[in-house]
Amino acid sequence: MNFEVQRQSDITIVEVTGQLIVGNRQELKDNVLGLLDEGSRKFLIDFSDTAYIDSSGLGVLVSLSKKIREKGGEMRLSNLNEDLRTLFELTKLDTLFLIADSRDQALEGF
Amino acid sequence: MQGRQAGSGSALIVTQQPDLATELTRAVEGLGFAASVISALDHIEAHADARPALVLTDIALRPTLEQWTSLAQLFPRSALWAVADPTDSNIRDVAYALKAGCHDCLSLPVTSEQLGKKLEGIGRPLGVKPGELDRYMSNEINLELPSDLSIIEHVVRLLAGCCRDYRSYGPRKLVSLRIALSEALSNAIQYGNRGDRSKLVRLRASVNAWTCRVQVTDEGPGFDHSRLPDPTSTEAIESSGGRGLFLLTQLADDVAFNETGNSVTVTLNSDWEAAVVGESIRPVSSDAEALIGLVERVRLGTDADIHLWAENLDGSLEHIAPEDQALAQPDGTLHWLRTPGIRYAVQVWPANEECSERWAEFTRDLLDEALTYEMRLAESRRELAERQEEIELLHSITETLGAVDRLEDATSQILKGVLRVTGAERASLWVYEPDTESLVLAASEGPSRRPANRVSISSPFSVSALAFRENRTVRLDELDALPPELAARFGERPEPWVAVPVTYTSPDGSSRPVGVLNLIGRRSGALVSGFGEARLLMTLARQIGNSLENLRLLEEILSRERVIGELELAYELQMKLLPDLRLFDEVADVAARCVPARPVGGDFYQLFKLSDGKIGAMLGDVTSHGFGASLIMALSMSVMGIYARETTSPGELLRAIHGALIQKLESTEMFMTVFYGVIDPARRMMTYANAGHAHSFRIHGDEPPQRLRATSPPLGIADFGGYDEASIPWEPGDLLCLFTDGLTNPTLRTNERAVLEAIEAHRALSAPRIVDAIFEARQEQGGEAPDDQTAFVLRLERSR
Repeated sequence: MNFEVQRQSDITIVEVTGQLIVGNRQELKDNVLGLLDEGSRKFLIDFSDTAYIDSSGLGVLVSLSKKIREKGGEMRLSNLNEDLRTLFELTKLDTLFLIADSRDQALEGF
Repeated sequence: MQGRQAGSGSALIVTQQPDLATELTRAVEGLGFAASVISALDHIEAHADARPALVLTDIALRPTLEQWTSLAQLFPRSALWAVADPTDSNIRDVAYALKAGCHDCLSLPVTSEQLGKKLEGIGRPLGVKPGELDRYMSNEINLELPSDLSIIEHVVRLLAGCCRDYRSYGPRKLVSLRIALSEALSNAIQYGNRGDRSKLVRLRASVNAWTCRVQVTDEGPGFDHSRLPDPTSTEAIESSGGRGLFLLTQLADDVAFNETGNSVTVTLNSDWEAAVVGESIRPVSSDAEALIGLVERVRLGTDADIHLWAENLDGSLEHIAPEDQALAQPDGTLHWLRTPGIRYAVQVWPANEECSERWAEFTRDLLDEALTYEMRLAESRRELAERQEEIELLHSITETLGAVDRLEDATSQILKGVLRVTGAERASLWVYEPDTESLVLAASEGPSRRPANRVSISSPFSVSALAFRENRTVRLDELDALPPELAARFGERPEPWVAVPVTYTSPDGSSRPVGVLNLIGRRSGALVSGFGEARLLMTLARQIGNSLENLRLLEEILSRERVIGELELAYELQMKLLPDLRLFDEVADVAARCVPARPVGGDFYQLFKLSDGKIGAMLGDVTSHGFGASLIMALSMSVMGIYARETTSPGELLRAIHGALIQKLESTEMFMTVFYGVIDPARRMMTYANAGHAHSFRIHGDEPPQRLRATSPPLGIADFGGYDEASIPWEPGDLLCLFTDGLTNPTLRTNERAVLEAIEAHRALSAPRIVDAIFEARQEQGGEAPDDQTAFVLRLERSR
């Protein structure tokens, strides 16, 4: 997994490439928490190049979203492939995140 | 200092808190003791003459090991107790104190009555340190604990540490002890005291080299343990104690309850032969052994006469060295050597004129020094052993389980480096798997476009397979050198692509291919353009091959040498937790299979016979896998075993589980998907609650599978009000099919479809056959399955 961080006005966009799995989830978590500490509050995690997220990857997303909310921020997700969308729907995790089809859609009203 | 009274009539109180000093003074004076209060342990030796019967130390002072040791040396015959405020104190401090030499811990409030009882309870002459005559002989621990699940871990560690010190409890025994004790404590806290923090759990443990006996008493009303049936019988599955007691009786050598049922005594025997117990072997402490050895050496080296006595409880002296000259009593000047538990008397007679009194003095000092050294050595040995056990039993399991991740991490690091050096856009590493004669994707870096992660080495369409087969570098831009199938696949102007065989050169110089490295694309503006350099690539590939092979060997060694014993045990224990489905033969056609990704996993299933002929079926999946998940899984199973009988509402059951596990789940960042359905054959209905479990289906007749959708997000995510339920018709012959995402990863929809097709094709067969079909279908799909795989199939009426 790789990820790239960009800024668009006050929104931090994290683009995840590759799988988000048990072996690398900590890396993502540490980085986002670091950015949160530095004052970022709005996060968009973009998965356009992610084929697969395992359950511990989901766990990290849930915990990050919780921590961001606690600080008065928000985390959105975008560009999940069909499998991942199904995964979020079937587990009802889609009720906990704002999931957008595209990056632009996610940025609307953020 | 008030009342400087000698003998057993005084108590020393050490605290900085005036209120506590007043309370303790009142309590000890109520027993007729004279109290002295000091505020620190710094100059404790000034009180050496006081010879108090009791020394009460405020745990808030956090005495160090040295301070406990000097307390024990100064007051070898006093009861050394710590005083702790249960709402305020850290159990770690208490555990540390008990390890360091404190005999017992009192919880506030301390009254004369409580103190009196405690002193009686010792059952020994006042002021004699319990179990400390020889710390290698027996150890007694009394604790009063608040009803808080988080203390369990510390208490268990403390007791396991005590047992381990004897060296007679093997790793298996220690694991059994840990689990049995956790169960006993969590039962007392959750079901005895109902989690009420104001109620206490009393723990009384007595440990020696042969037996560890722990009594756990709660303040609850107790339960009817006389009805506790044979744990393997059908009734046991429905017994009120649930799985916790089942586990307890399985692991402990003896489990006994008091009449009311609020106190359980668990006994575990060490691995020493039972026969040894009968013979009265008195283990000599290592201190004494060391001393005896030293005395012998000095005697042999000089002609001096040295004798050594150990002081007994009653103050009499027992001659212990030299063995062949048992002198009843010493005559003349004695020199005392002190250890935390015991005093030794030494007498040295100069052999002749040259050996003056000064020489005798020197010899005594030498012995004293040697003893101190021996004690320090023993201490560090103990510390080392403690660390070692931590590693052996918990961390190394997690770590070694993580060995697979390490390989992934390492390869991913290697590839990142390769991208940097070569300026390629993407890189992937494929490793040869001899069993299947295929190349398996070990890691890839850069934007991934590759859906497959396994390719047969005989594939004519694969660049990697070609490079591996012919053990040569394949370049896509050299179209002429490619077989026609491949050239056709990539067209006229393929993107830059080089496949390099990765070889391992063994120390004897022979070399063999172990995988293939692919470099694809060229990063725009890449500074380094080593891409086309054949020699650079070959060097890289050789390095990768060697590190891969080393990692693989390391993994092999790790799994062989260190893991197998403990992991097999963990696996066995976990499989023991799952219900024996044969017990349900009469009421249902049911089968399940659980294949953990690592030796232990986080998937589980449960089946309950409920009142009115109802049947409860559950499948759960703790996110992540390995040891951490398995602990959560074990905890969930015990919680469910108890709650399932208390309610027939699935939503309520999930709420109860949520309540019991939320802290643990949140602190570990795990969550759990659970499906729980209660089938009521009389009403032909099933009511279910589904917390985020993706793959739950009803198969009715020839209809397509009906998905039983999640009614709430997974368990352990947050408090969002409650767990909803849904009800559907349930006809005789309907199949309930539940499986976990290990069977559908990594391509959820494709794999789920394959599994469902297998179920549909075999729907008329028995449940075990359907489970077989599910796993076969998954295997045919190929692809790695990095998660636990579990399937559960239930039909109330036998197959048609």
